[in-house]
Amino acid sequence: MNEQDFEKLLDLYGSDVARWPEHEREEASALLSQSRSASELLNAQATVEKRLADAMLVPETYGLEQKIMARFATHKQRFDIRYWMEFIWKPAFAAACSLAFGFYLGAANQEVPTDLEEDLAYVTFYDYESWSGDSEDES
Amino acid sequence: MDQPTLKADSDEYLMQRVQQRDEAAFSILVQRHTRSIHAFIFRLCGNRIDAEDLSQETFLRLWQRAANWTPNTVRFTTWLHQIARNLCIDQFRREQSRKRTSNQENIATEDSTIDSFEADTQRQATFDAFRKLPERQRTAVVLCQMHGWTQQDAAKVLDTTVDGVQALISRGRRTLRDVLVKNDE
Repeated sequence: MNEQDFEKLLDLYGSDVARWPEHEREEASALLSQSRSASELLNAQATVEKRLADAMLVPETYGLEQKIMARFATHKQRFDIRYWMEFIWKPAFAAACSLAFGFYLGAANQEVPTDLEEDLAYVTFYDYESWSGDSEDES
Repeated sequence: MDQPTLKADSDEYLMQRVQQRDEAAFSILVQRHTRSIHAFIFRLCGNRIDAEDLSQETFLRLWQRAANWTPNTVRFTTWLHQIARNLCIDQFRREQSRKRTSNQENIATEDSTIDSFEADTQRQATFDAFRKLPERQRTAVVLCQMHGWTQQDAAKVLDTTVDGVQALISRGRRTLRDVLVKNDE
């Protein structure tokens, strides 16, 4: 392991060498005992981590849980309506689509009589009427 | 089911109860995770007021979007941190659109916690350097370094691979070291 490899591992795992992968730890320890710049890098990283931890001290959250529950109680009903709507809208949408598709198919396949068909029907009916009339006259 | 019975149950079981609209289970999840979620959000946004607001919003989203969580695909804590992170990103965007971020110090002085940083220039410099990191690098550093998460879990929150997290955290750490230590020398 050279210093560049060491710096890469330092970037990857941080300054706590005990948390590095086992197979890297021994080589890192060996390098640290020989290389001053590797030790300086490790110290620099440890300093950064300590400074970050100090700068990012989280303030106390007095009563935050109660605030959350109070806000939850205020909005619960509205949230629940939305929640159940999430379950309902998909099947409702699917049903509406099926219905619309059914109407479309029904409308598309409806047989509208053409002029020729209407004429033929009329002629047939007319012939039948006239034939019926003739037979009555004959009798 | 009453609270004492539920208190010993796993997050995953409680979350399944929340999906059935169990308020007692929700309350226990709030008690259990408020501190960690608040710490995560505070470290990402650096503002106490925003951190409290976004923490509340995170848990309200948990209740609203409980149906979106599927057991055995993602751990509950990972999913909750994803919600929190998304809220932080929305907040950053709102800040940017208001052009308030051009003078971050003004926001900091509104906040009593950050006020104390002003007395300590080193803390302020650290805070500023951290704020200047891209959001994904910041999230990776917060989760892996400050919260002790594994890179695998952080990858799920960041919606990337382990290699992706390693690249983010490496760049973040190196930038901070360059800015905070090498510049001091």
